[in-house]
Amino acid sequence: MKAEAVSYDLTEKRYGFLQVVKGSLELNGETLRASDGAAISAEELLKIKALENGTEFILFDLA
Amino acid sequence: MLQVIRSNQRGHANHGWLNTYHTFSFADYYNPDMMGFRSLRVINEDRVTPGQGFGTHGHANMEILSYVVEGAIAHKDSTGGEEILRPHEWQRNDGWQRDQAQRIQSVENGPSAFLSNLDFAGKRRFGAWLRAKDVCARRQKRKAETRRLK
Repeated sequence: MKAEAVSYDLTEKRYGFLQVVKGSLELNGETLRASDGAAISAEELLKIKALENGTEFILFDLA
Repeated sequence: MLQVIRSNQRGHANHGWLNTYHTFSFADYYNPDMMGFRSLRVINEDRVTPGQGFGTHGHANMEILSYVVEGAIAHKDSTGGEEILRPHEWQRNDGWQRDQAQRIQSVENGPSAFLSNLDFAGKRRFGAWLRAKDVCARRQKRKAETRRLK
């Protein structure tokens, strides 16, 4: 299995919420599985790495 | 800083036709520590029995996103528009229009699941037009995106 990663900049002191839809992933080192969510504050760079094939997530970029 | 909400920490209700999990307080699930995050007020993961669905209902001052995970969802709004949403498709409903109403129904065979979130519900206490302005202004700045990873 080839792990694939993406990154996302949370600029201008914005907040994020990541909802895992399918599969599992690592968000800045924290393992999240299907239907887990994470409220994100004071993180400028999000590093998201899939831990299995077909992983899906929704990322909200919030004020 | 990450505040993780595990899947088994969510509220849950099984109404037969609707099996639903609430990340934040919603309906009969009330947790004062889980009232949303920033402008995000609701994340529900719903599984709907085929042929069943939500009746027409209004959403005041909320921007609503629906994302289909499995199956297909038919969605009809008060403007008469109806569309079928399939996996990996989004639907956004600008609920700040006062007459907005919607009906969501699962179609085809097998269970359908979708995640929807209702935004800005926490700002109900403000005046309607201010809320609408607020939603419009914020909508320019915010976005939601999905990614599929191999």
